Amino acid sequence: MSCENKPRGNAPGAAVTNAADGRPGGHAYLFGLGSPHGGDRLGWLAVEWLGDALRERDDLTVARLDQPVDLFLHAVTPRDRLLLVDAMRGQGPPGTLKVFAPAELPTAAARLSSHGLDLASTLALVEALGLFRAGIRIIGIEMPAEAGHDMPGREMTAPGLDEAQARRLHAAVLGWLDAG
Amino acid sequence: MSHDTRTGEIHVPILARVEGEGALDIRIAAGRIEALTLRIFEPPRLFEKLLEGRSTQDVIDSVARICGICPVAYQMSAVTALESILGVTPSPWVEAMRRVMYCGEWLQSHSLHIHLLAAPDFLGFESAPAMARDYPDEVRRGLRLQGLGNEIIRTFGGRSVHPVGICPGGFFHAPDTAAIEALRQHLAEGLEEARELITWVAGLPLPEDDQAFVSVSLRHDHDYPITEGRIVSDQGLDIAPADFEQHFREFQVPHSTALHAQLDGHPYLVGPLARLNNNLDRLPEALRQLLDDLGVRFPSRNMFHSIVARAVEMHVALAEALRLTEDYDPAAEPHAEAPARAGGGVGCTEAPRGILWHRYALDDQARVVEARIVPPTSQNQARMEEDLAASLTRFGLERDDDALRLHGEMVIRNYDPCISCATHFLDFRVLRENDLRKNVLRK
Repeated sequence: MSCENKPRGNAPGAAVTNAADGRPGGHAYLFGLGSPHGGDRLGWLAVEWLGDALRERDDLTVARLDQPVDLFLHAVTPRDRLLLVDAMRGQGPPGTLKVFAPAELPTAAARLSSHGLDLASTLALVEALGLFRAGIRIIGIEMPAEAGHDMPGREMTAPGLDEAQARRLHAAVLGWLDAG
Repeated sequence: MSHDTRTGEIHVPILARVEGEGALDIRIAAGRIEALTLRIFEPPRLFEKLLEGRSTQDVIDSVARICGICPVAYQMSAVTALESILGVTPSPWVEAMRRVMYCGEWLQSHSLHIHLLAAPDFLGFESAPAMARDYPDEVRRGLRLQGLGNEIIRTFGGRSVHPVGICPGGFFHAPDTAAIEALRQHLAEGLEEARELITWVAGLPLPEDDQAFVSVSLRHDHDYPITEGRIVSDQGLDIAPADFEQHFREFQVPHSTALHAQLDGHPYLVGPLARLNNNLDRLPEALRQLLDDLGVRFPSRNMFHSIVARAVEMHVALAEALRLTEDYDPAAEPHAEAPARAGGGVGCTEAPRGILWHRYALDDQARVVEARIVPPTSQNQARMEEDLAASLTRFGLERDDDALRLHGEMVIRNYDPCISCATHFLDFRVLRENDLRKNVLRK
C-alpha cells in the first residue's frame, strides 16, 4: 500500500526485487493493522508516520494491512522479524503504548474479528509455517475513549498521536529494530 | 468405555471452522435417524427492520455489515435492487469493475474455506495450523490467493473489510491506472497458482457420497454468473429474479432463528457446486479440459465436490479480473446520477455461498419502506439437514459418537455456512434408543 518503504520480493505495490537471493537476513516487517476510518485507523496512522520517520532504514518494510492475513502477501521468511501496530482499547489512557509478545495478547483482542481470520489465528499460522523466527511483537496503541462507539449524535474524537506519544512510539520501534 | 454405558450426549465446545453459532442434534432409534435438527440459535439480527427509513447509500453501507466474509455480495445485491428502483443504468465500465470487485470476494472467501476450513477435514488434521506444518507450500499459496482477493476488494472499496466504495450508479471513485497495473501483476501470478490449486484439490481424498438434490443458481447469457442472471435450476426452473417469491418460500422452524427456504416445497442447494453444475458450459474450454484430465466430472452429485468447484471458481475469478482490467482506463465519471424515486425492485447476485436475493420498497425520498433479504446459508439449511441424514446413514450410524460428530461437522463445513461472523460454536448431541430407554426407566 501507499505507505510502504523498502518493500521486498512480491509485496503488493512494491518495486519487485529478488526475494530469495543476496539479501541480509533478518529483514524487519512493520505492519499497521486497521482501516481508513474510525478509531481503528490508529494503526494505519501510526505506520504512515513511522514509514516517514524511518524511511532511511533499508532493513525495514512498512505497510498498512486491513486484515492480519494480508501479511502473507509479502515474501516473508523464517529469518524475518515482525512488528504489528494496532489500536487497542481498555489498556489505559488514550495514546498508551503496550508491547506484547504473541502469547501475551489479551484473548479478547487476539480473537476480535468479524471477518474470518483473526490475529490469533493468523499468528498461529505464522508459527505453524515457521515464519518470523527472529521475533514477533505487537504494539497496541490505546484508542481515544469514545472512538469506536459509533453512536448516533455522539462525536468521535479523531484518532491520532500527539508529539509525546509519537516520540514514545518511535523509540519503542527503534528499540525493537536495533535489538536485532 | 463400551457403547452401551456411554452417555447419549456429547458436547463439542468449539468448532473453529464454521462461521457462526449452531448445534446439531440427532436422535437414533432402531438403527435409523429418527430426528435430526441443525439448530441455529444466534439471535435474529433484524437487519431488514433496521434498514427501514434509511437512504439508499445507508443501505449499501449497512448491508456490508451483515457479513464480514461477503460484504461485497450484500452491497451488490442491494445496489442492483436500488438502481432498478431509481431508474439508474450503470455504465459498462461500472458493470465490469463491479464484477472485478466481486471476483475479489470469491477469491478471498473460497480460499479461506478451502485452506483453513475444509481441507484439514479431508487430510485428517484437526486444524489449519496443524495442516500447515505438513503442507506449508499449499497453505501459503492459499493465504496469498486469499490476500489477493482482499487486494482486489481494497482497490475498489477502500478497504477489504466492509468496503465503502460502492454508491448508487457506480463507485465513488475510479482506481488510478497505476493501482490497476500493480494489481494485474499480482493477478497474473495468482492465475497459475489457482491452476495448481485445482489440481491439488482434485487430488484430495474426498469421500464418495452421491446424493439427489436440486442445484439452484444464476445463469447469464454468456458469462459465468456473478453479478447478474436469471435464476435457474437443473430441474427446469428458469425465472427472472423478480419472480423469486412465486417459487421460493421462506418459513420458520422451531429449531432455527434463521428462516428455512424451499423451492416449490422442496429443499435445494445454492453455492459453488450448484453454480458449476448449472454453468459448466460457461467455463473456459481450458478449465473444462483440466477437469476432464483430473477425472472430476461435473455436473456432480457428490456434495464433497464443492471444494473442487470453489477452486475452479477461484481460477474463474482471477481470469475474469484480468480480462476485465485489460486496457484499463479510469472512468471520468465513475458513477451515474441517481435521482430520488419511489418504487420497488429486486437484486440477485451470486455470493460466494450462493444466490443472495434482496427486495426493497422506497418512498419518494428514496428511503426504505420495506426490505427483504434472503441469504444463501438460510436457503441451504434444509438441504444441509437432508444431506446430514443421508450422509451419516451412509457413513454408518453404528459408529461411535465421536466418529459421527466428526463426520457431521465435515458435512456441515462442506457448505461453508456463514451462520454469523462473530463466534464459532457447535453443540452436538446424539440421543440413542438405549439412552431413551434408560431415561424413561429412571423416571
